[in-house]
Amino acid sequence: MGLPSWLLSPRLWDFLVDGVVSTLIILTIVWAERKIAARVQMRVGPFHVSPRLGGYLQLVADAIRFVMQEVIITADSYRVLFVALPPLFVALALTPSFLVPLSPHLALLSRPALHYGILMGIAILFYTFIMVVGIGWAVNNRFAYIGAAREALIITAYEIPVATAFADMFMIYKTIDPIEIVAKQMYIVGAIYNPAAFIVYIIGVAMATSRFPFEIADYEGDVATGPYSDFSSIFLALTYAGGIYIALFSYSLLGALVFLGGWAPITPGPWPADIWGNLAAAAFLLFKTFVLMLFFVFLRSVMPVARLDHALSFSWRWVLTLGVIATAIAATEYFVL
Amino acid sequence: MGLKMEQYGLVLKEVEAGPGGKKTLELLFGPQHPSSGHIRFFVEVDGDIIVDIRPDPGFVHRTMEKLGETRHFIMNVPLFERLSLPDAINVTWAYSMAVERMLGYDVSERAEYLRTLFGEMSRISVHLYDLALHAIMIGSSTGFMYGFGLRDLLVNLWAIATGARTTPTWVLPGGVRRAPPKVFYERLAGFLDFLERKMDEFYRLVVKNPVGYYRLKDVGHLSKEEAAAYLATGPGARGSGIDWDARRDMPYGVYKQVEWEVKVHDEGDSLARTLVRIEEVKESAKIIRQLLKIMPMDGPLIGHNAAHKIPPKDREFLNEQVRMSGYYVTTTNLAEGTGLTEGGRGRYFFQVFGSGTERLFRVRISTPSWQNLRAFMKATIGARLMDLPAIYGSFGFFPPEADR
Repeated sequence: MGLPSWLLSPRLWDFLVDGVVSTLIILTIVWAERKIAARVQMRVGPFHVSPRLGGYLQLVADAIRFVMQEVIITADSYRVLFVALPPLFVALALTPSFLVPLSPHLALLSRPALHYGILMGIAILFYTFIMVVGIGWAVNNRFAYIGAAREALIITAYEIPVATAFADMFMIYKTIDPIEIVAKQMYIVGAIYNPAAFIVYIIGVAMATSRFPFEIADYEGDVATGPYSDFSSIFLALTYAGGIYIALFSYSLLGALVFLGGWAPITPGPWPADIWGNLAAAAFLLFKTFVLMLFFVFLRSVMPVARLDHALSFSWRWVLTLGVIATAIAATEYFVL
Repeated sequence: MGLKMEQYGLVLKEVEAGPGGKKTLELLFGPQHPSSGHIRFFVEVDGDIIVDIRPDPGFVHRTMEKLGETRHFIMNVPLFERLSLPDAINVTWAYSMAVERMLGYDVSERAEYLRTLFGEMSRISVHLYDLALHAIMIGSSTGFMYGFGLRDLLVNLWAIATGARTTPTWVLPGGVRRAPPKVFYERLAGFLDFLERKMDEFYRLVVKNPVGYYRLKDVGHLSKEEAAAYLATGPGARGSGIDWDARRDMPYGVYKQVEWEVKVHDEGDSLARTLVRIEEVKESAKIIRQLLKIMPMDGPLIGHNAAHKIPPKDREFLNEQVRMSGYYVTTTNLAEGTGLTEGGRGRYFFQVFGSGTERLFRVRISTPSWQNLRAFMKATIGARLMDLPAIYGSFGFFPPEADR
C-alpha cells in the first residue's frame, strides 16, 4: 500500500482505537444506564435532546454543560489538590486501557513492557481510588470527610479480593502476559476455568467503582455526594459523573482480557498485513468490555444501597472466603492442567 | 506544601459533646441536604454511630393556624389542604368534620360513601408517596419511580373526579363538592388491579431485596412503650405493635359498613413500619372495592342543613355539583367543633372556634408528622449514620405537614 509507514504504526492505531472507542463506549454506557433504568421504571429516560437517536446526545449536552459551568473552588478547600486531583483521577483511570493490547499485534507497549501490562493496569487502578480519598480530604467538608473515610474503608475491603482473583487467573494460565493469557482461553474462557474468581472480580469491581449496591462513599442519602460534594462543573465531570465510568471501563477491559477471553476466538495475522483482522479482534474485545460494563450499570436499576458495615463484613467475610476458594481451585488447576 | 493540619482536617472541627463526654462530630443534616427535606437535624456522630440528634424544624412554617383566622371559613379548605398535598382528602375531611360539628351540619349518605372512598384513595396516595421517598432514601431509584408512577395514575383519577391532580379541594362542610363521573368508577377498578400487581413488584424489588431488607431490618427500633410514650401515630405506632386506628376506634365515614382490618406489626423497626404501609395500601384497595359495590350512585352531595343555604335554582344540581355561593353567606356560630381522621401518616385533628362572623376565632391543628418527630428522634439515637435515611423514610416524616 502507498501509505507512509508511520500511518500504519500499530501504536498509533492502538491509541486511536482505544481513545475513540473508549469515549464512545463510555457515552453509550451512561446513556444505556439511563435507558435501562427508565425501561425498568416504566418511563422513557433521555429523549428530548435528539429524539430520533433515543436521546443519545443528551450525554453530549450534559458534557457541554459541565464544561461551560462556572468553576467553584470553596474557600475552605485545599486549592492545590482540589484542582489537581480530578485530572489525575481521570488520567490514572484511563491509563490501564493503554497498557494492555487490543489484539495480538495492536498495542501501545512493546514486548518486555507489554508482558507486565495487566499487572501494571491493576496496580494503577488500585491507586486511582486513593485519589478519591485525597479529593475528600482536599474538599474539606464534613460530608466529604465521611465519604473519604468510607472510600478508604472500602478500598481496603475490595483490594485483596480483586488482587486475589487476578492472581488466581495468572496461576491457572501460568503467565501474566496478556497475549498468552488470551491464547490460553481460545476454547474455554477464564470465567469457566474459575467461576469463583470471576464472581470475586465482579463484586470487587462493583465495590471499587461504587456501583450499586456499593455506592456507599457517595451515597446520596446521608453524605450528599460524599467526597465530591463540593465539586461542580468540569471537576464533577472528571470524577463523579465521568471519571468513575472511565475507571469502570479500564476494570472491565482487564476483566474481559482475563475472564472473558479477550479477542478469542479471533486470531488475526501480523499487523500491517491483516489490518481488518486486528481491528475485528479489537472490536470483539471492546464488545466484551461493553457487555461487562452493561452488567455493572444495570445493577442501579435493581439494587438499593447496602449499609457500610454490612458491605465491609460481606467483603471481609464472604468475598474473601470466596477468594480463598478461588485460590484453591486455581491451585488445583495449576497442577492438573 | 505549607500545610497546616489544624486547618485541614477533622481535628479542629471536632466538638466535645454527647453522652459520656466523647469527642463527637456534629453534622448539619439539612435543610439543603438531598434527603433531609425541609428540616435540619443536628446529628452528632461518634464514628459511625449517632449519639445525639436534635431536630430544627420550622423552615416551611406557613402560619396555617393564624391564616385560618383571617379568611372566610370555607376558604380554609384549600388552605389546609396544603398542609399535606399527598393526603389532601383526609386533611380537608378532618377540617370539614370540625366545621360541621361547630355549625351543626349533617352529612348526606352519599357524601359519606364518597368521602370514605376518596379518603382511602388519599391513603393510597400518601403511602405511595412515602414508600417512593423511602425507596430513594435507601438508594433504590426503581422503588421511587414505581411509587410516583403509580401515584400519577391515582392523581389522574382525582383530576377526572375533582378537576385537579393534587389540590382537589373537594371535601366541603356538609358533603363533597362534585360527583365523580361514570368513567371515574370504571377506571378506578382497573387502577386497583394494576396497583396491587405493582405493589407486589415493589415489595419484591425494594423490601424483599436482600440489600433493602437488611437496610430496614432491626433498624431504628422503637418499642411499644416508647411509641406510646412519645405519642407516635399512624404507621409509626402500628409498626411498634400499638393496635390503634382512628377509622376503627373513633368511627367516622362508613368504615363500619365494610370489612377490613387494622394492620399491626410488633417488631418496631423500619421494616415493620414499611410493611404496615404496604399492607395498608392493599387494605385500602379492598375497602374501595367493597365501597364500589355498596355505595349509592345517586343522591344529594351535601346534607340537608348545608343544602338549605344553597339558592333554590342551584339546589336542582345538588346530585352533580355544589355551587359555593351558599357557603359564602354562611357565618360561624359561637361554638366549637372538633374533627379527627386517620390519614396515611397518622391522625389529623382539627379544633375550630366560631366567632359569629364569617371568620373563625381560632383553629387548632395537630398533624401526625409533628407527633412522629419525637418518636423518630428517639428511634434514630444509637443507629448508624447510614440508617438515618432508612428511619426517616419509615416514619414518612413530612416537614411541611409538621411545620404547618
